[in-house]
Parts: sequence; structure tokens; C-alpha cells
Amino acid sequence: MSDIAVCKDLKKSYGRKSVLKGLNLSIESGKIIGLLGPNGSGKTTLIKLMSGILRANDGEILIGGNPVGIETKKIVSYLPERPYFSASMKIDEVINFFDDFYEDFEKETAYGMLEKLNISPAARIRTLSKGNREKVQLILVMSRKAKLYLLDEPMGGIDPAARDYILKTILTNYSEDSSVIISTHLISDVENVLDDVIFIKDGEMVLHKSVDDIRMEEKKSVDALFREVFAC
Amino acid sequence: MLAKLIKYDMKSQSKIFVPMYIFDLILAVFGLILSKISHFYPKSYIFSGINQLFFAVLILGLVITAVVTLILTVMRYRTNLLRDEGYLMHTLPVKVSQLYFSKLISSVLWFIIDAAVVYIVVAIRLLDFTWIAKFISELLKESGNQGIDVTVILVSMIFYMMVALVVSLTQFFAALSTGYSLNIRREGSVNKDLLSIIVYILSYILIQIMSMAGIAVDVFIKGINVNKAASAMSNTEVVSTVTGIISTQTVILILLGIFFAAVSIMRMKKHLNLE
Amino acid sequence: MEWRFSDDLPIYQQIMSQIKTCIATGTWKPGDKLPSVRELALEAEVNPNTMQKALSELEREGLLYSQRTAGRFVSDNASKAKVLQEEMMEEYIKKFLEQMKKLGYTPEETLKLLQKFID
Repeated sequence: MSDIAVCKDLKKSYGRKSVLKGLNLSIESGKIIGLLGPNGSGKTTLIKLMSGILRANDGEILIGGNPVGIETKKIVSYLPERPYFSASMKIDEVINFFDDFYEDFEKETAYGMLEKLNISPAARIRTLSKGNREKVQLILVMSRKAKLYLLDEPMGGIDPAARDYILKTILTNYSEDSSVIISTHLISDVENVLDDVIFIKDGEMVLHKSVDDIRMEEKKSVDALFREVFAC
Repeated sequence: MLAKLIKYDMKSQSKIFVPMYIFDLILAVFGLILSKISHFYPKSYIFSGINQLFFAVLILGLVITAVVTLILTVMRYRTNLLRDEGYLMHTLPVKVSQLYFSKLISSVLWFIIDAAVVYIVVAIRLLDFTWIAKFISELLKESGNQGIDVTVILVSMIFYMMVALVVSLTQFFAALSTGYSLNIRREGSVNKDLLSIIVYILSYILIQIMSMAGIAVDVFIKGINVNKAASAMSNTEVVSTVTGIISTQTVILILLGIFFAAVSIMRMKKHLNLE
Repeated sequence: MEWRFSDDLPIYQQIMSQIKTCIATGTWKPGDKLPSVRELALEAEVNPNTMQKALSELEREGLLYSQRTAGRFVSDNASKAKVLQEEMMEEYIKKFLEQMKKLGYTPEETLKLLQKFID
């Protein structure tokens, strides 16, 4: 399998505070990867750099062979932690928006998922409950046939049933020529779904292994290992 | 892509602008009906009073519409590109410059539509679609009596004001883009709107300085004599002096506008830092 | 089929044992066609790659076989089934003895208790 994304010597600082200090990473295609680390470790920064929302101070990121820019944005689907749709838009309008700007967007997939969840496409974003709003965002992101999905804390603050739905959605949309990076601190919820995990600590990668290897070598779950590695 | 972005900007903002224009239209129609009725009561103070009141309200409404246009277009830039919606906009496969110009162009379009609405609304109220032509010829006649050909001055002034409008938009956008992208090292969070206001004030000072530099250029380089009294100048001299000054100022504004646009795009491209 | 996973073993291994149980108990009969990897992964809520790995291993062990266009099937390999049964039996008994030991019973006590319950 080839690498869909490669980070070389990635550095990012905010003012004097250095968040990423020369990160090296490669992401294989066809994998579901967990990006794990405590708050402030740099995982959100890494995701923002890969999605193009942030610019690195040094180093490079190649996605699909291209540096982060218009070409990569065409194949990267990003789910940020926060609500990012205009509240006054109707779901229909948001779908048309995505359809207009993203060639890989599939309307039918989006409508299908909305129907299954009993969410009316004519509803305005502001009328949705928090849980539904987050589900709609996920639906739109996953209705693209992207090569790299970046999900930043997709399950924070949602009820367990919704979390299950999110995992099922990720699994359903899985394909061999795309990869999903899930940044989260709710590890036990996602562990069974992950191929590999990456631990980020203080802006550096401290571990990149498959879940299976961790369980075989450490004889414990990723969640347990995480607590050890990041014990305060 | 740029056209698509403009389309969405226009669509989204029309939800507020269209009702506003309809309201102005209603005011005009109402005022018209009222004035027609009051014809039947030519001696009534009440009716004449109400008439004038309504006309004043109409003008106020149009002024408010213009102000609201400015506020909304600037706010949209902020909300759509620098706050949460920025997560959506900046991950679209489009250039930052396209995002910027979509905002600028759609804002200018709304001002143009605004002007058209003003024209139509006043025309309806006065039931006279040639009111602008009459207004202008009145102006020209007045000055014509003084022997000065004001047409050129008028044209250059109007052009200057249009440039000033567009540049003031770029100024707002630049202030916001800069205020929102400065990484101030400070304990706690910094209010980005406050920073933007400060940058705006600084940009205003910059404009003033550049304007004065323009005057200086006119006096010392072009040799325009500002000390000569208008009465001592020939008519053509007055016209050329005034238009000379106005055109220098216009050029300076255009250069500043380009500068502000470049700053906005650069800040968003390289230093964007959404919450 | 109810999938249940614990934290400390690789999932693909757990999938393999659970499938072996299914085959040994007859829930999955020889010749039965399996759902697609994707479907199984969705059902078990695991990574499709993991499911694939488990199924491939079971194929290697001869418990499953795949036909190019038709899909994956449970082997009707009788000797394999016997081996499987023995494997599972050993696993169960070993586990049982371990647990009894943990509870504090000696092997003789365990044997006696076992006899008692069988009767």
C-alpha cells in the first residue's frame, strides 16, 4: 500500500510557543488511524496543518504527492471540532454547496444518511439539536469520496448511540484507497475500529503501531497503554 | 470558482437585503399615496406635516439602508472567513484571493444595487423617473452661472467617491484580516475584534498621511498653487486645479486599496489562525 | 451473531476464536457462505482490515475457503472440524482448570466436584 500522506520535519509554533517540533509521519492508504494524545499535544494542530487551515513554519506535508493547497483540498475531507455551517442555511442548501464545490461529493449518499436518521433536509441548521448538528456535519464530510478524511474529535459530547452511528458511518464509507484519521481522546470507544494508532506527546510522535501489535506486545489495550504513556 | 463564491455570497446576503429594499419601496409607495391624498387638502397643516415627515422617513430609510449595507458586508467578511465558517471556506479547493475577491465584489454589487434601489424608490415617490437628470442639470446650471464648468469636477468627484467606497471596504477587510491573524503573546486570549479596530485606526491614519503626501506632491511637484484665491484664477485654472487635486487623491486611494487587498490576502494565506 | 471483544488480545485473534466457536458449535455449518468482509466488519464494529486478517488466517488454517467470484465459505473439511473441536475443547478445559485454581481448589477437589456435577 502506498502512503497517502507524508509529514517531514514539520514545525509549527504560535508566537514563541512551539507546538510541533519536527514531526515525521507517514500515513498509509486504506487505513483507519487513531491520532491520540492529551490536549495541547499538537494533534489538532497537525490536523489543521493537513487540512490547510494552518500554515507550517517549517517542514513539509505531502498529501497524494502534493503539498497542501488546492489540489490536496480536493481530496481531503475535514471535520473540525466545531460547528462550521452558517446557522441560517437549510440542510438542502448546504448539500448543494458541497455539491457545487467538491467534485467527489455524492448527494445521494448524504440524502440517504439523513433519511435513515429521520432528519429533514428542509430543516435549518439552527433548528437542529446539538447532536443532530454534529451528525449532519459528519454526514456531509463522509459523503465525499475523499482520499483522506480528517476527523477532529468526532465523538466529543455526543451520546453513546450517536457515537455508534458515527463509527458505523466511518466503517461503511471505508475504502481501500482512502484513509481516515480520527483524532480523539475517547480511545476505548474507537479502539476496535482502528488499524493503527499514533501517540503524539509535546509535539512529537512517540508511537506509531498497529492496534494488534500493541495488544500482542504490551498485552494490554491501547487505552491502557495510553494511560501509561501519558500518566501525569 | 470565483463566480460560485460570489453566487453564494449574494444568495446568503439577499435574505436580509431584499426585505430591506422591499421595506423602502413600501415607504415610497405609502408616501406617494399620502401625497396624492393630501392634494385634496391643500390648506391642511396636518397633511403637509405628515407628508414632509414621510419624505424625511423615506430618506432616512435609504440612508439606513446604505449604512446597513456597509455593516452587513463587512460583518459577512468577518463571520464567513475569520470565524467558525472559516473552517468551511478555507478548506474549499479555492484560492484565498478568490475568497477575498468574492467578498469584495459581492459587497460592491450590493452597493450598486443599493444605488439602483435609491433611484427607483425616489423615482416612485416623486413619480418622476428623470429626477436624477433634473437634479444634475440644476447643479450644472447653478455653477454655469458662475462661469465655471463644473461637469469635469463633478465627474471626477463622483469617481473619487466610488473609489473611496471600494477602498473603505478593503480597509475594513484588511483591518479584520490583520486583527484576526496577529499572534499576540499574552496571558489569556486577546479580543480579536478589538485588535481589528486598532488596526483600522492605524490604517485610517495611514490614509490621512498618504492624502497629505498627495497634496504635497501636487503643490511641490505639479506646481499647483493653493495660495492663489479662486477669484484670481481663470475658470479653466480653477477646474484644472481642483480636478488635479482630486485625481491625485484618487490615485493614492487606488494604491492604498491595492495595498489593503494584498495585506488581507497575505494575512489569510500565511497567518490564518481560526479558533 | 453476537461479537464480544476484550481489551487485551488482538482483535483478529478474538475474531478467529469466535468464528471457530461458531463452526464448532454448528452455528456456521460446512458449506455455509459468509457475508462479505465489509458486512462482517460492520456487524462486529471492527476495522475491515482486521476482519480480513482474521478471515485470511482461518483460510490458511483450512477452516474457510474462498472462491473467486462466489465468496467465502466454511470448509466441509471433516478432519479440520475434528481438529477444531479438539482445540476448543482443550481451550475450555484449560481455562476451567485455571479458574478453579484461582478459586483455590486443588486438582483433586476439582475432579471430585466435576464428578458430582456430572451425576
